[in-house]
Amino acid sequence: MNLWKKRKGQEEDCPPNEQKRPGGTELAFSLEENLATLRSIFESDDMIQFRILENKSQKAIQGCVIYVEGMTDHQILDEYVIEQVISSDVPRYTRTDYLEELQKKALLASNLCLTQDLQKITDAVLVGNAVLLLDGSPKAIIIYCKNLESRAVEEASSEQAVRGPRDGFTEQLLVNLSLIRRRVTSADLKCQYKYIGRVTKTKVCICYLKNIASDQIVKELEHRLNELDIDGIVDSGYIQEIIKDSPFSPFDTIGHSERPDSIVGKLLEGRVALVVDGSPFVLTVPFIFPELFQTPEDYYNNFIFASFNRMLRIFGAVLALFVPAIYVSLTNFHQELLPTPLLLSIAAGRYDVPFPTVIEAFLMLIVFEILREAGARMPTAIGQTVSIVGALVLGEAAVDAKFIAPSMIIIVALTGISALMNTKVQGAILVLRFVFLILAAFMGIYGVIFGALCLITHLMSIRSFGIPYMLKEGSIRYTDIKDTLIRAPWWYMRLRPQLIASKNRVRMSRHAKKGT
Amino acid sequence: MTSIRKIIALLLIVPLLSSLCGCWNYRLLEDLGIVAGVAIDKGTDDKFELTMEIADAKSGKERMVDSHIIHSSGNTIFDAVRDGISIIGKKLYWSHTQVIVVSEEIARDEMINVMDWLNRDSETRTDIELFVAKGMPAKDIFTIDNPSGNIISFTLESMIENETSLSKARKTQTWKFANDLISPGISPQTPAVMLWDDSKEQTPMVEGAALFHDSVFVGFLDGADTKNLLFVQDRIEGGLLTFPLNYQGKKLSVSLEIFENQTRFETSWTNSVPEIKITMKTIVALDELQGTPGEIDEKLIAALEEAAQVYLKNNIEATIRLVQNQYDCDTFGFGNYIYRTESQKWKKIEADWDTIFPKLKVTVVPKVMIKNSATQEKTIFGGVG
Repeated sequence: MNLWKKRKGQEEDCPPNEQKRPGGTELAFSLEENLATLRSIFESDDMIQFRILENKSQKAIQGCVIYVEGMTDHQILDEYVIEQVISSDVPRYTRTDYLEELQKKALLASNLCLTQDLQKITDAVLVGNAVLLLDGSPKAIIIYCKNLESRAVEEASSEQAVRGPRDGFTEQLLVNLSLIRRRVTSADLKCQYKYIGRVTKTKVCICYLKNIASDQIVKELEHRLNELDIDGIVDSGYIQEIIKDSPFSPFDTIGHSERPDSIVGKLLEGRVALVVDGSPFVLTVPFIFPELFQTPEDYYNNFIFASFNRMLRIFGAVLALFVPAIYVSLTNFHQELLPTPLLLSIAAGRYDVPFPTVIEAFLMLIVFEILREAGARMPTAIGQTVSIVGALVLGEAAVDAKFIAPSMIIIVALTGISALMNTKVQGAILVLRFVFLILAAFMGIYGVIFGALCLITHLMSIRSFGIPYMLKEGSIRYTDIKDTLIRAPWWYMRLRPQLIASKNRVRMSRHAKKGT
Repeated sequence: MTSIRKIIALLLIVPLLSSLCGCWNYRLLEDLGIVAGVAIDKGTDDKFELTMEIADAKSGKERMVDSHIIHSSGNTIFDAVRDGISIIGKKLYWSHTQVIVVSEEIARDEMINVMDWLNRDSETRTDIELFVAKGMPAKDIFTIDNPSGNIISFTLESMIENETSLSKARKTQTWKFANDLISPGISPQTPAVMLWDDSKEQTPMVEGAALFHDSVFVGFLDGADTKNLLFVQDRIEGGLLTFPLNYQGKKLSVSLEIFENQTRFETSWTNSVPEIKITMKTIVALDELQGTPGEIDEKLIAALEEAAQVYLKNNIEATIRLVQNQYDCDTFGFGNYIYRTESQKWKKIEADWDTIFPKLKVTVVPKVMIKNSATQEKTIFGGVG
C-alpha cells in the first residue's frame, strides 16, 4: 500500500543562498581590489567597519582592518594589532612574506591565523573576529578577538536541585565546553567542532570519552550531523528533532540537560554529548527510557531517599497517563468494580451535572492545560492573579454552578500535577493522556489496556542510535534495576550500562567496599 | 488514489468505526438505579412482589446519599425486576445489592426459584446476604419509618457482618446457600430478621436462624439455639458464654468471652448406622465475674471450665435434639461430613438420610480453656490486683 511510503520526487532543491561573488574565492594582491571586493560583499551593512592603516615610517605598508562594531574586543585590536602595524619597524624585504613577518614579530595578539580564502575571511568577520589586509599580499590575517556579551554562569532554571552544583550552561559554546572540561580532566575527553546551518553556521561540538564511548555511536552522530541540511540552527532543539531516531514518536530519543554535572555523569557512562553554540541545552546521545525518570540529584542524595523519589516519579507518570481514562471507564462501563460507598459518592456528586463524564474530563483537562500554558507565557506581574483566578474560578465556581462534578476536579488536579512532576516526559504524557481518554470512552477498560499494549509495543520497538529504548525495563534482575527502578548504592554500581559502554564497562574495582 | 486522499479516507473511517465499539456497555451513572436491597414477598394471584430500596443521590449543598422504596410485582422475579423501570424511570442496577430479605411464604414455596434467578443473572453478585423475615412480610423491614435517611440495606449488611462478635446468627451469602443446596447431606440456613420497637422508632434486628430442609423453609431457631448451631458448624469466631455457677456456696454469674473454637466430628459405625461424636475445643477468657469470690485462683478456674463444659454440652445436645425432632433437617452437616470422609458408606445411606437423621445419636465433648482473666486477677472486693 502506497500510503506509508515516503513521497518521492517532491523534495525541492535547496535554494543556494550564497551568491556568486565577483573576483573568485581568493584575495588579490592589491589592497584596493580586495577592499572593493569586500565592500561589495558587505554593502548596505553599516556595522562592518573598515579601518585603513599606514605604517608611520614606511609609507609603502598600507593595510586595513575589517571588523564588526560591537562584537570585537577593542583592546586586542587597538593595542596588539593596529598600534603594532602603525608603529612597527619590521623592515620590508620582500613583498610576499611581509604579512608573515608582521605576524611573527610585530603583532602581539595570541590567536592569529593566515588565510587566503575569501569565504573564510567573510565568515571570520561576521562572527566577530577582525581581519587584517595588507597591500601587496594575497593573504590576510584573521585575528580572533571576538568579545560578545553573554549571560553569567548561573543556576539552570529548568532543572533546579536542592543538592548539587549550581552552575548551569550558558549560550556561549566555549563557556559550556569549559564547564565540562574542568570536571573531566582526562586526555580521553575528545571535543570535535562542526559547523551546521547554511546561514547561521552554528558551531557545535561533539564531546565524548574516547576510551568508553562506542565508536559506532560517535560515527553515527557525525554522519547524521553531516547530512543535516538546514538554513539555521537557533537552539539545540532543532538538531534534536531532525536527527532523532523515531521522529514521530512522542518520546524523546535524544536527551538534553542544562546542568554540567548531569552531562558529565552521562559522559562517564559512555554517552556522547553535543554542545550547541547559542543554546544552554546540551544534547546527549543515546537516550533510553530509564533516563526519563533520572535526575542528577538522585545520585547525590541518600540512596533510600533517592530510590523512593524515583519510584514516586515513575508512579506519577503512570498516574498522569491513566487516571482520567480509568476513572471514565470505571464510572461508565464497570460500575461493579467500585466499592459501593465510593460509587454512591460519585453518583451524588454527578447529580444534576449536564455533561457526560467524558466531556467533562476533556473540558477540564483542556482548561488545565490552558492554565499551565498561560502560567508559562504570561509576564510575572500578573502571574499571581491568574493562578488564583484559575484555582478559584475554575475549581470552586464550576462545581458550585453544577457544571462539573467535584470528583472530576480531583481527577484532573491529580493527573495534572503528576504530569508536571516529570519534566522530560511531560510532552508525551500530555498527548497520550488524551488518547487513552478517548479509548476509555469508547471501549472501557478494554480500550485502556489495548492502548497500553500499543504504547508498550511502540516503546519496545524504538531505538536510540542503535540502543533499544527500553534497554533494561523489562527485566527484574537486580543487575538491571540498579539504576532504573531504584538507585542502588554507589558500591553496587560497579559496571557501566550494557551496550552503551560495551567498550569499557568496569567503573569501579571489585574491592571498593562500602564503608571503606 | 493519491496518498493524501488515502489519509483523509482513513481519518474519516477511523472515528466512525471507533464510535461504534463498546457502546453497548456504556451506561452513565445517572441512568442507573442502584438497588441496595430487595424484599421478596408473595403477592396476590401467585405473583412475586418485590420491594426495592434504591440508593440515590440528593443534590443540594451537601451531597447526601438517600434511599427510596419502590414496589413492583410480576409473575417471575425477572418480570418484577423489569417492571420496576416503569416506576423509577431508570434501569435497575444490581451489582451493588447487598441484601435480600425473603418472606416466610416465599422461603417455603419459591426459594429454589429465587435462587435460580440470583445465580443466573450476570449483575447480581454471589455475595449478597440472604435473610428470612420472621413473623412479618419482608417488605415491612424496608418500609419502616426512617427519619435518619440511612440506607437500611447497608445497615442490615453491617449487622450481619458484625455478628461474628455475637454469634447469634450466621451470615449466609448467596453462594453459601447455593453450595449447601447442592451439597449432599447438608441443608442451608439463613439468618432471621425482625423488627424491634424502640420507643422512638423501629429498627430491624438480626437474630436467630431460619432452617431449610433442602430448599423448603421449615422453621426458626432463636438466638441461643443458633449459637449452639454455630458451635456445631464450627463457625464461632467470637461471642459470649454466660451461665450461673455455684461456687463455695456463693452464686456467681459468669461471662466468658470466646476467642477461638475448633469443632471436629468423628463417626463411629455400629451395623452401618452411624453415630457422631463432636469434640470441641474452645479458648475463652474470663471477662466478667459477678459475685465476690475474691481472688481468682486455679480452683476457681477449674470450676469455671468444668461448669462451662457442662453448660455447653447440655445446651448443644438440646439444640441438636430440637432440630432433629422438630425440624428434621440436617443443618449441621453431619451427612455432608460422612459424605466427605467415608463416601462409600454415605452412598448406602444417602437415600435414607431423612429417616436416619432424626434418630442419629450425637454426643458432644466440649473442652473449655480459660486463658486469662482479662486485666485483673482479683475481683474488686478482694482488692484490685
